[in-house]
Amino acid sequence: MDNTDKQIKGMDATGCMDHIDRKILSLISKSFPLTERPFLSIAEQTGITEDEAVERVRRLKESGAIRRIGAVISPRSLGWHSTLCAAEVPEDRIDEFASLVNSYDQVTHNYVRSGHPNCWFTLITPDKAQAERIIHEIGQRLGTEILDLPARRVFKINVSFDFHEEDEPPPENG
Amino acid sequence: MKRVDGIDRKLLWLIQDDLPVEKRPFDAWAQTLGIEPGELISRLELLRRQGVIRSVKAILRHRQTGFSSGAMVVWAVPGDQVDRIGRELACRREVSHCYERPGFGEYNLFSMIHGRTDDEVLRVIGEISSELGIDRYRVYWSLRELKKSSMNYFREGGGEES
Repeated sequence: MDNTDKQIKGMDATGCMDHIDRKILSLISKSFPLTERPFLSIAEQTGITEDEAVERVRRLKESGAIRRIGAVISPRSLGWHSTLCAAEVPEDRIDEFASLVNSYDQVTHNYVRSGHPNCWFTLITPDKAQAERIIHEIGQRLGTEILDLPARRVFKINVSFDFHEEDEPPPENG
Repeated sequence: MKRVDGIDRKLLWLIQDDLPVEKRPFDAWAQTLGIEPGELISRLELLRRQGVIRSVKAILRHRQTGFSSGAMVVWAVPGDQVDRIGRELACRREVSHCYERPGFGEYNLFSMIHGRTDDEVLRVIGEISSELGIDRYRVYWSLRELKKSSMNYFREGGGEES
């Protein structure tokens, strides 16, 4: 596939980013143009052609820099419930914990962290009752206490980040 | 809570997937819904204005974009100062998320802090601590990602898929 791909100026075969890539990322990680030809708008703002814009974004996805292009939906605006949960899981039971917790579609993020408790996951459900059921079930099956920490107040969910507890940092740092 | 009609529900279901990278990426979705691309775009804009869609954007993987370090930092803030300190934290560029979450002992303000290196993250944490006068905090580094996915709100139990 690399053989047939057009080589883009300023970009090597491993997909290293140049300043145009960074500009594109900075732009579309804040907002993807909602027009019939969004790549034309990206091209105009970065001084390249529409074809090149498509090609560069395709590369950035192949290289893994872009995880997804799509909508971020606000669970609250739909009346959904979201919460952060934490549990202390011994190292030798983390795989078991991961396969159990990850099997729920309602779990969007799951991390092992330093410190105690060491396991943190986020849960999004249509209502609070379902979240409580899932938390209870996980706790029972693991024989562990699960902390349920829904937000009382949201001070910031960065628009150029995803919704969840740990997600994408800004593409530029000044 | 916003009301969404049948077409919007299907649209919300589609747009949580990955947008194809091609010159007219919205056309296939419009066709699926049986509407013109222009109408699809105005529906998206309306849903965004209503706050149902927070944004349409590229979601980045930070390890490839130079921000390889990040930590969840929980702060112990006196109840009458949560509002002020929460707002101050939210103003900082390195802080991506900030919530008040009761139920975790004295630690009631949760934040995500990012930087290029662990040292940079630690420096920011130190600055915040001294500038805002919060002595008690805990740093939770991310050691291992067990799951990271996007929620699809309309896939499950929606019965909208056709």
